[in-house]
Amino acid sequence: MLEVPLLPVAIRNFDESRYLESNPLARTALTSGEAVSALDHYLRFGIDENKHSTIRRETGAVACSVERYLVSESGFCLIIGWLADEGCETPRMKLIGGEFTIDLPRTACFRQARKDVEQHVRDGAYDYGFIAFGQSPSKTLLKQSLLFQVASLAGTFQTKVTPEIVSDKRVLNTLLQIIATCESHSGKPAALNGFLCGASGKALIQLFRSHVASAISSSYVERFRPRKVFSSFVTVLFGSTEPIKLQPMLFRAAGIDFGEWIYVCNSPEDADEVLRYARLMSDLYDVMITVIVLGDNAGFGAANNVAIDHAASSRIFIINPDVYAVPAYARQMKQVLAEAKLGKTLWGGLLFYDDHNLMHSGMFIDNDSFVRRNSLNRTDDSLLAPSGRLLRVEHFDKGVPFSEREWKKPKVVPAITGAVMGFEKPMFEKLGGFSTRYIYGHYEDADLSLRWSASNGPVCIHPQIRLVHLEGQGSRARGEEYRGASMANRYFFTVEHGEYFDKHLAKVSRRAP
Amino acid sequence: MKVIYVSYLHPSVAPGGAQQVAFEMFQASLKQGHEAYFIAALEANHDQIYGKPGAPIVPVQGEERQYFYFPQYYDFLHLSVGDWRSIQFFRELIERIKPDVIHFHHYHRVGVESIRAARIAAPDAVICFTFHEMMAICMADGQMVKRGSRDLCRSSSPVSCNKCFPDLRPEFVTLRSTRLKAALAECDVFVFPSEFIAERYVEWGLPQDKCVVIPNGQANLGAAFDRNQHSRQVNRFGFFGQFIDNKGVDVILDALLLLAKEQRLPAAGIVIEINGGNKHYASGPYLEKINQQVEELRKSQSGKITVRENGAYARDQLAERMASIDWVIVPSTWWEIFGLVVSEAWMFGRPVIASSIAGLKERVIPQKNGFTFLPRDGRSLAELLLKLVGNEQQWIATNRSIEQPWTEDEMLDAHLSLWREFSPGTSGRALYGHRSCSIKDEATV
Repeated sequence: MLEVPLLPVAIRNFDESRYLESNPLARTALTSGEAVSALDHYLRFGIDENKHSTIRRETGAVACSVERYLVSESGFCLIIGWLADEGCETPRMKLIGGEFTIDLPRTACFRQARKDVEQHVRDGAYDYGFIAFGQSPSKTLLKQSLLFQVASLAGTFQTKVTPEIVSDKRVLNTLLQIIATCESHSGKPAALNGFLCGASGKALIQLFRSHVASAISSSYVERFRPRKVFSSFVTVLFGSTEPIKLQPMLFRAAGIDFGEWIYVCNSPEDADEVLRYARLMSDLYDVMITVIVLGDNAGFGAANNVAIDHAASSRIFIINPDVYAVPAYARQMKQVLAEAKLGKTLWGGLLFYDDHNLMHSGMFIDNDSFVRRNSLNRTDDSLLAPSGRLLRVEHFDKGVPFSEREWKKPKVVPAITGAVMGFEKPMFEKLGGFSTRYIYGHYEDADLSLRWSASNGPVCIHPQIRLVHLEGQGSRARGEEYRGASMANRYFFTVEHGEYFDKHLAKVSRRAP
Repeated sequence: MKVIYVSYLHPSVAPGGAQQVAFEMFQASLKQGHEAYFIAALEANHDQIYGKPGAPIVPVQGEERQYFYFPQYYDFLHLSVGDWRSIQFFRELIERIKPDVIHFHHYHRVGVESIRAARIAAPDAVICFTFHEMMAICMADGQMVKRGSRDLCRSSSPVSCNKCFPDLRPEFVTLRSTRLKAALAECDVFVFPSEFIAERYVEWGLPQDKCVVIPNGQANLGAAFDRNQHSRQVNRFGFFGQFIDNKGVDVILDALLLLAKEQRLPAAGIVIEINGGNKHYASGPYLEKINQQVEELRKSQSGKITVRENGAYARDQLAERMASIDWVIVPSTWWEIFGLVVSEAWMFGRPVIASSIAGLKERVIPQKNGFTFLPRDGRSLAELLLKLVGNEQQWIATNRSIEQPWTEDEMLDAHLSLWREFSPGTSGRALYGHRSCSIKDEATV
């Protein structure tokens, strides 16, 4: 190894024997030859480890800015800012009040690239941006001006921060928007993996659940033309009223008696129109329609759970807002609805893009690897794993021409899409319904499928459930928060089912039976 | 027979071809002793003038068996009335009347839900639907003219409609048309005023065996008119109709400009009388183009061109306006479905010079009842004008061979015979082939 001459440092009155006496590692280093003297050890290790305060060091000020400090009704806080601490260890962040101090754990912090800061401070592959996110044990503790303090080897910084008191949803969406749009010099998957797969991910799920509890607490239910029915179709609406104008009419036009159709309105601003059309369609076609209006968007899983709880029958069919009858296959669908029970199976269907081409015949699970990129601020490997993987849910037969002869009998599959699911209500309730760990939407269908096959029974494609799925047309979830939620859900799904995937690859992968 | 006519607008509120035809059928029905009713769905703001508080349907002041209908929450894209209350009132009115026939003349503002409501209210009634435009096929006001380029659209499809409406995904177009077809499926029979529009709707997906072509008829306003009168130079041309983009006034001006530029104007000169209303519905760029053309004509200083803009006209002014022209130019640049103005010209013995397009192409037979030129082609029209100006012999020959267009009574008779085939007591409902009552041979209907 190349011997590099170090700068000569002289320390007056350095007490070698006292240093060695108080520092067993230094003694060992002398014995092994790692250090040539107590002073040599002190200069190369002791100062940095701050073991012997012979030298008083004045820490410098570091450039930093806190741009937003949000505190929600349930006590979640989100701090957004930047810190010019290039090349230093992970900084320690604190919130200090009159009588208390909160040490923000390292896992509560997420560093992201900030091009604007790079332009003004210094350019380079360094993630200057930071967010700190967590939930206070008290709902009110953080709703006051506090001192925000950062300490790192680069220096210290402190400022008074005054919170924006906002709803849980505001904090949730702000964080999700950051997740959707952020970049990191270490690679976005690696950075998000570090943030979402630990304590912060759990806090984020808890924040969503808090929002959901509020959204469903004030739901309004109205039934039009109630009657005894043998099946309940459930559709969750979000940002669009088209489905209630179309689905009952078109299913009926195809001769399909759906029993009861439950529409859960996840956007209360559409409630008037949904209620008007529900009554109109119910009157015109003499069908039972139930409308449940939630206080806010509770997401796919929670909204379905509420609907199924209100269902007038125990035979449930979850139908996405963009799923329609295929007149050519209406006979088969009618046959399914004429069957007595759905048993212990979680049934999916053959979903088509049009009359001839499939979109879905079950789902399997795959994974994508990611490798952390090198960057200037990766001095602490413990926060960001050098590599990892994310599970991916894929559809069988997406876009392929339909072959009738392959679908004479039911087929067991690893998972099915939430676009169309059929099951008996008690079996669903036994599992506790859809998990609400998935924010707004995505992955809860695969999650339910995996839990179903582990606890209830098989997950199968019913060859006679044949519907068209105009994929992606069901809702108008256009904001970045929904993209961020979908991204975050993928990490949550991986945390939840990654181990199972590794152990049961043959059962859940593309080659699954 | 007890017949309810359901129309978009009422001719007394706003003139227009579809409501005129519907209303004349209603009047003809009364005249023939049938028990007829007329329900006109009005625009959203009309209830301020014609409505009564809290009443979705009100009788027309001073008229018998006529109603104004104010459907709420109208959704243009789906041609849907999203209001159970409006539909319920509509349904109850029909239930009370107990009609034998419900004849819809539109779905715009009426809402396709009204068809279902009519079916529930009068389960044994014949539901007949006449299409006066292509709104179900085309979201661009049913014109099948491409937005932006103004090119003629020959066939709708989810992808091509998305080009006109980039905010609406192709899947929306599929769903919309599926819904409309499901709503229209409640009808027993579809009537089209021309082969052209019948073919478009059959291609779109209406069952051919329910489709019948019956041309529009109109009350003859020219009975007392001297059909043979004309100028010696036969150089006076009239435009009648709406002064809007698709009616083609610009094509006439184009033709004149070409003749002026090439100094080929006939010695007798050319007189153009523009009788067009609703100019405020024309687009800004279109009016700008017209102004530019007029300015260019003025600059040409030929002295042989006279263009007069007479504005809108009432039906009782038609004779007076027809008296000042020899020919009627119908230069439509869209798929003109039928062209009531053609019938009006023939009532007064005026030969028609029409774009060779859609319903006009079917009806106007060169040298028999008029002449045709290539649609949107000023050059083609210019050449035709040159051939006709001063050609008195041609005018007289054509004038003599013009047949009287169908009257409202003939139109009603054709419908009555159709409806009787569906009425209870007849031996089952006949399946209709594409029963083409050729407009070229109206007597065979």
